[in-house]
Amino acid sequence: MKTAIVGGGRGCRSLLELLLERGLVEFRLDVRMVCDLRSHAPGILYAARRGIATTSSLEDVFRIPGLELVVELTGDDHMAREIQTRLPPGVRMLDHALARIFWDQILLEEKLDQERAHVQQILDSMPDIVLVLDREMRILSVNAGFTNFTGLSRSSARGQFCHQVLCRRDGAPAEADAFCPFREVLASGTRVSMVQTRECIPGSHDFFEITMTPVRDAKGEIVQMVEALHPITERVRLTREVEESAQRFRQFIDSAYDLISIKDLSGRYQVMNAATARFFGRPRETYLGKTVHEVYPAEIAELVAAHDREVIRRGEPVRYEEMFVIEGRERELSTVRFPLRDYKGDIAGVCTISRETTAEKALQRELLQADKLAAVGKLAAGVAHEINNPLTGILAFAEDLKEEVRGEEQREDCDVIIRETLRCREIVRNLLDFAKQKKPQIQGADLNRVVKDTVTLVSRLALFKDVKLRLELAEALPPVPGDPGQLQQVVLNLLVNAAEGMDGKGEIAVGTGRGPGVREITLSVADTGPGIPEEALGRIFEPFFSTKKATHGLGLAVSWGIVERHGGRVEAANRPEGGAVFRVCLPAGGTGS
Amino acid sequence: MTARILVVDDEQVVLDGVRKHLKREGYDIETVLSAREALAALAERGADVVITDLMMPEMDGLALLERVHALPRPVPVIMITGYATMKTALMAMRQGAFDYIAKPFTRAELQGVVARAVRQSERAETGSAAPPRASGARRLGGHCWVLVDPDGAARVGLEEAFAATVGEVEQVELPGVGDYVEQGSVCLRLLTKDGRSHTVWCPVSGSVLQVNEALTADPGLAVKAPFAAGWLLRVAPRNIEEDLRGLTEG
Repeated sequence: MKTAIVGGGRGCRSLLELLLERGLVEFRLDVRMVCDLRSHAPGILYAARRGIATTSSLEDVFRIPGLELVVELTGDDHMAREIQTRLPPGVRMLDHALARIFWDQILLEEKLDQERAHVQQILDSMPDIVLVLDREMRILSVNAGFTNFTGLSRSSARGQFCHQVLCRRDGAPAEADAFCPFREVLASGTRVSMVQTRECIPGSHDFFEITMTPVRDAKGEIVQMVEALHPITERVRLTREVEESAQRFRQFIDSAYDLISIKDLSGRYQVMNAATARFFGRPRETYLGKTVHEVYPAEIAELVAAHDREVIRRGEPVRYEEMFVIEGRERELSTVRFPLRDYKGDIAGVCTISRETTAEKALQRELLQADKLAAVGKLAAGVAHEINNPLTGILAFAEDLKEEVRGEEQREDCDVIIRETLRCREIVRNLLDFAKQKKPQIQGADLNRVVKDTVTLVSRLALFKDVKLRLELAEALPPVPGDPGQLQQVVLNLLVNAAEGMDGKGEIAVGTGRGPGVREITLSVADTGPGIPEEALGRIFEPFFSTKKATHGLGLAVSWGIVERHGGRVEAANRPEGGAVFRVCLPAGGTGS
Repeated sequence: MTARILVVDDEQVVLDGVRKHLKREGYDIETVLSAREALAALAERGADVVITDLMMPEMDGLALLERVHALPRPVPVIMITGYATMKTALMAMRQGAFDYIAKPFTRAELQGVVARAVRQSERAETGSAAPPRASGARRLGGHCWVLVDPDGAARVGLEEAFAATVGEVEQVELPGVGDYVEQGSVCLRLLTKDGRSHTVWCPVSGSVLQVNEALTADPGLAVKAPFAAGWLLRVAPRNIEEDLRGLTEG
């Protein structure tokens, strides 16, 4: 529309700027001339700069060929009326009052556009994928995150169904998607967030946190839905890694045979594996959050707490050989305790890893005992061989001297030499008896029979005159692969040992039975004597160890040797009710050794 | 006539000891340090009894025993042995040794066994007939016998040679019931009127089941009726088959 503007003030200049610089599309005005009497009016100056004709004469305006519209911006009603009267036919006029209304409209729309652009800019700045949907799930607008993610432009996304674009399920109704919160939000009217996966690359999963927020109109009706997809794949992966790591740790410590536990700095159990709970014989739940003083008897708690303190003080791993009495049994542990540090490197707790060594230690002690016996045997044979000749000489010369000397005192001295030499002879012979240690002649031995025979034999001895012998024999005992003669020697030794221990007065209970192990037979000899001194318990089976003056200290060592060669074991203990008890465990099957 | 005793041992102190022990017995004693010297002495001067160590370098006691048996007039041989070589001593008995004695020995022990050997030597010279033995019994040289009773217990008594040479028995020192005795170890002692102690080796291993109480009242029964009422003890044998293999038949 060929247009001329009359009035070159600031309104004129604004209109021109709007038309020429911002491309106001709503008005297709083709401004050919600006008219004003003031040659320095802003509109005149601007028009001149932009190559638009200017004039101070209305005549010039009306002479524009093909003029269609005159816009009057003088703000002067007289001027407006004058133009009206002089307007050539076919040319219309927009006076300043009307132009003002249009102007306001134009400015308003421009402001709206600016705000829309601003909102879009904000949306585009978000890393999330944002869509605005209508009630039918059609896409109304999207942000840059969306176009980046889908590769679809704004305009091609507009009008498509959300689920077809994002869930890639062409044709499938949105209702089929149980994981889509759209319907729920529509029904409830409140915002819903949920975690969704979307298969972008086959085989791999992306995770999103989807938030649907309803948008309401002035009447409160839901008219639109803002859908925001926040990618959380990394977060999910991390969470999973943490969970898997925790799971792996639990499986690891629970499958361990070793005892593993962790306490915090206040000494409270944070972690405890199944093996530890089994070892101490109480459920794991009863430990967590408790201190050692709350879960163990004082003596165990003191020991553990003292060790933990030492580890914290030293700040490095410390090894301990620990011994606990659990349900009356001594249990040995080989333990390493070490400080646990947090991410800053500060000590946050103490970890304990222990291995039970009770059986191992017992075996070691037995091996040591066996070694000792073998060594004693070898030594004995050697010593006996060397010592017999000198002893023969001493005896002969002493006995001869005794006959030669006159004085009574000297004769008595000779008797001492003879007596002591004979004592040496006894010692050597016992040693050799012990060292011989014959291999057992294995046959099916009836242990009950052996016990009965031996008891019959000893009951006639003077030592057993005031001893009450009580038999507690298990019926139908399977035979023991063993040497009845040697086993009898064992029973005899144990009975004599018991009777001597009680000075020949009291009761001896001899029992047989199955167990404690599978395919094991046990013989027990319990007396009512003073028991075995605590310090002697560990040494009682050693050769030449005796708590009784009268004996040579080989009886129990010989028994030990015999039982060992039968593939069994002997244990000595004190009974809680007083007296000592010896238990011989023999294998009930196999061949022995 | 003075009995001639030849003593063989590779260690001088043992020879001196034996000489000291036997010096008042009125024997003619010669001591040598090796079996070779012993054979030379036997060839030159002869002997009534040989006492020899079992373990000697070069020729040992068993080899010497064999050579003595090969002599025109064999004489009783007493083996001296350490306690550790009891098995070898038993073997020597099976091969005809008269008896053995374990080092270190007392005067009474040595005198007892030598006195018996001297008597045996004299008997051999006069050609005394051996009286009948219990049938089925096995013997530990000329020392003792063992017979397995129907109940499986091993009955032990003195051999004729022992009974005939020990002299008049004054007391029998029996083991206790329940004691464990071992083949070749001391199972009892006989004390004789001449003040000597005679050791009786046990022919079987096992626990003593019963001792002949009759011997307490009449100790002489052991030598007067060694195959009958004079039996010594009954043992519950530990392994009778193995023990019997170590003994001689008849």
